[in-house]
Amino acid sequence: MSGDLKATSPIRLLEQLISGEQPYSEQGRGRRLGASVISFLGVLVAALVLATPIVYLAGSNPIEAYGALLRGSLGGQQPIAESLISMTPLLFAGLAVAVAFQAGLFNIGAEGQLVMGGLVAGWIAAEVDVPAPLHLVTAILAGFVGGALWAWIPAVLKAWRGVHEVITTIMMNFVAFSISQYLVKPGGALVSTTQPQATERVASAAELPRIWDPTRLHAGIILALAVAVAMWFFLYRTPVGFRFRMVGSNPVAAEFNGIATKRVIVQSLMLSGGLAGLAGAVEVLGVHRRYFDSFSPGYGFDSIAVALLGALNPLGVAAAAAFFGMLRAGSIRLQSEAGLTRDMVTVISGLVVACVAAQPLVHRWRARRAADRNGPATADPAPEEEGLASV
Amino acid sequence: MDLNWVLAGISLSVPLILAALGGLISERAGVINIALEGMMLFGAFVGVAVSWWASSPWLGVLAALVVGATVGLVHAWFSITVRANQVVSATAINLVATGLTAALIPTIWGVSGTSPSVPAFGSMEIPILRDIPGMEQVFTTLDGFDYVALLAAPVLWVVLYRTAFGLGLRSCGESPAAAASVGIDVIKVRYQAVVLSGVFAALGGAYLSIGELDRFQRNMTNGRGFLALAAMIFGKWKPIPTVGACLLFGLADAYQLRAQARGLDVPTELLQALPYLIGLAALATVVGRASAPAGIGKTYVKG
Amino acid sequence: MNKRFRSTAAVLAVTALALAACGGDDDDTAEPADTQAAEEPADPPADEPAGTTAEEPAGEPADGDYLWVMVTDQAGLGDQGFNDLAWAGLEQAAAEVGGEPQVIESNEQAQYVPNLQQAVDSGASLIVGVGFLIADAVSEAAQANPDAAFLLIDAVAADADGNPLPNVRSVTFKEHEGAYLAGVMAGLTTESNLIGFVGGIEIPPVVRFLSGFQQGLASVNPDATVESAYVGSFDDPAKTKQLTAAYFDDGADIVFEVGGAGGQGAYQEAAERGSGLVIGTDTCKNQLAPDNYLTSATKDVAGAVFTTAESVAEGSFEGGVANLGLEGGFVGVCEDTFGDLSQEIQDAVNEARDAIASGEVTVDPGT
Repeated sequence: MSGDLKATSPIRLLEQLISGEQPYSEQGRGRRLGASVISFLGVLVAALVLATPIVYLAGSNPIEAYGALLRGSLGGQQPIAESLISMTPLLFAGLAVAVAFQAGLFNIGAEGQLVMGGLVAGWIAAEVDVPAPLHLVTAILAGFVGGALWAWIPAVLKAWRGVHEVITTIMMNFVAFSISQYLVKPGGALVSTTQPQATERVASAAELPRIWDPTRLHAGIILALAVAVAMWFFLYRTPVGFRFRMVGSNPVAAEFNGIATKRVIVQSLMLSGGLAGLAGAVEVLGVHRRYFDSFSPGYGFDSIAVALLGALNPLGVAAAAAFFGMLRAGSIRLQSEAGLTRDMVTVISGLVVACVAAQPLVHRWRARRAADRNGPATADPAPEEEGLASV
Repeated sequence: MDLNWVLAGISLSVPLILAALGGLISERAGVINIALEGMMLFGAFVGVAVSWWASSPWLGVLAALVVGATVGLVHAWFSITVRANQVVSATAINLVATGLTAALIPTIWGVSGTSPSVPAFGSMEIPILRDIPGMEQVFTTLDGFDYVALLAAPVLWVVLYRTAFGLGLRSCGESPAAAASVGIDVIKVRYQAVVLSGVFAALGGAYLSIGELDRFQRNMTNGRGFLALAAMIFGKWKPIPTVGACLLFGLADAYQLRAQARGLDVPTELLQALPYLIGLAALATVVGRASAPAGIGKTYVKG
Repeated sequence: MNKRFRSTAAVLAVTALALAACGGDDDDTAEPADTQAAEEPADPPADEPAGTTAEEPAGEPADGDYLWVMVTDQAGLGDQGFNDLAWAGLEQAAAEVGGEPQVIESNEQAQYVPNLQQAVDSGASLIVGVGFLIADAVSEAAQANPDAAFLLIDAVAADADGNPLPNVRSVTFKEHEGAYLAGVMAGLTTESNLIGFVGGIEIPPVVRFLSGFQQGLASVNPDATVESAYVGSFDDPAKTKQLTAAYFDDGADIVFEVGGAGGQGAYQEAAERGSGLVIGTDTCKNQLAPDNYLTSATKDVAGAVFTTAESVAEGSFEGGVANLGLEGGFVGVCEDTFGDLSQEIQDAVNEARDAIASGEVTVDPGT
């Protein structure tokens, strides 16, 4: 009974369902998957409903606006490609944040790690002589390493000095921005001769190939989805992944059970940084074809919302990234066809996140209704969620 | 070391101090608040809008406080009543704040990006102190916000550590169940703390827009809400050390601007990163371990 | 009960925010200001005759069905710089040539290409890409759409081999020439012989402003020195203000700001002190601090955009690269306040202008 009630939280539900922590009958599995999909869609619909008066008051016809949003994100090959392009960095960075959260760490520094990953990848791809067949792979791996190393300092400080990762990762962000600015300023070590605030164009062997003519969709999306599946397998099917989640859910018990929590802290934060680095690398090698100082509008920060909307589950994160990708791609037509400003698009994203936040309300209401049906005496369900990393 | 540098450092610290203390109040009561950035933006925006509309910076700052409380109430409602994930709730607030404040500039003033100039606060001259030898500059340069910010820390210290309210607030953050068992209304205390947190952060935002400047600019907080969060953790969730951390950031920033202006032959980007490098070095060596209030981020269900 | 009250209060708060959005919006449609900017016309553009959002132009052509579209960089409208100026140029085109101006503001760099493509798809007569960061994207969009006409501001669009594209007009500016004249003014005005330069981020146009300014200053006042410093962003007015204060504290009496939207902090500091002078960038900015304003090193992006739009209307548009300077008045100093300066300074500036025009003096861009 109470297990059933708990399972109505989509976060938990999705987690249990996909992780297979508890055995389900095939029938129950199907029903629960259905419930979590409905819950996900419910959030999106609620957000659009909530946004309707604001869209209207901003002087735009809501039906027209949502039509433009839909056409801009799904209405044809080009829009779908753009949605997938927008989704890619959010998926990588969302996975980065999610992995850290799973291990009990709040990586607010994905943005800096992403900048460093992009910078290193862009540098390797443009300036370093690597045999052609290996150039792309080297550059991508370098992006991973760049991000991971940038997370190494906060990781070590956290594990051995107990310094809170939120403060160190925030400050490492600022330092990363300065380094990036320094390297591509006029006369900087990596600046292009023709393009200010950027590195040289990457060698053609190091470009992520385009995969869907005539659009500019690049292979990064395939890589991102593959990494998402791999991360799911890693977290829920491998011993190391289990240790990550163990440390995240109860560090004291983890330590008691002989898990080297310090090592897990370092491993998880560096993995997180590496994933964020991949976000930068793939964006640089796939979209811009050179490192630009300003290529990220804050993917690393937006990915916090992506990770949480995806309930920290890699597959959920993929769904969340897809949604935000569609919103970003669709926003172009919101401006030119529905006359909404780009800032209104930000407001709408905020409302989406607010609806995610409000989910427990709905679940409690549903639980209470179910309880009323099934008999009285059922208490309020347990809190849906334990505290995440402490801030 | 000169007085101008110190005064500039204070000026750069004040928005951080106000926001960081706001964050501290909320987090000591057990509610994560990474919405400081959004709360500051709302405060900055509404301060300017009302000051413009009413031609009075006082009404502007009052409105900023009210809006700060309102945004705090929203965050409290999500975090406490809805029992939402507190990071998600805060992220929503930050996004809406960034978008809405920028979107309303053209709707109100018909221009993009920056509001017109509005009535704002100037510096405050304090009659008697001003006459103390050597202190003239201090007591004619600082403004009301500076005094509020600098006095807020000791006041907050007293409230947190020397009053029953403070004890209750801290116990809600450490162990809400224990607090409830001695008759503290955890939900009420947390609501009060988060609302107060919004008030402080919004005041920090209003300082930027109508204290230090006289206009609102899109995204003018520029990450200060997050830096304030870092300062609060730097200060280990304690008022006096938190203010110390904010002053460290502010003074280091003022120093690097001055060092650049005097033509110090060091890459400007390195100087710009200086406050953060100093902070990291301090954390790695002398500051070290800090732990959050034990009950932070956890939803509380009345038993 | 209590809890319910709180929920209600929260809902009311959200509603209040929504209402605030509403209240403001009526103003927006009612009185379009000349910098109308981000808000596009509320009504569907199709049934709107051109020119209703701008001041009613005299003798507007009936066949003015042009669509002038600009794609901003991430700074967007309200940057107090090239985005605002390009928009002013398009508004002028709409008013004088006819048609309708439209803006697409880019939220992220990855959207430059789809934003430009969107402009092409909407049938734009001319597509203006603003800022050197959008150069790659304009090159890509222009090659994919050889029939569309593009104007690129502050950079040169080229194909993979570095050849200019036939359907892109690339316009760059000799900021250093205008800044040279501002330097002459500063050199003859300063008493302390210390001048502060406040930049946003060290990027090529900013470096050109600084370089020209230094040369102009040195040409009339070899004893004066310029110190330069950067805020680290173009949108932090509070920090810009503190940097300006640092210069004034150190004895500078003139500050040259190339700080974008954040540069407004410089005027505020000077106005509060009631002493010291500020030199601005791009346009006349005397209204920001009327008593503490010396001049601006101007950059007529609006003029370049307008003339290009005109050429489209006349059917004479052609691609290519233009590097605009004092010749034709595309850079210079603020004309509105020029007459207020002493005759000596006016003469010196005019002399320098002639010297540059005749080639007697060449100004090094420094990049």
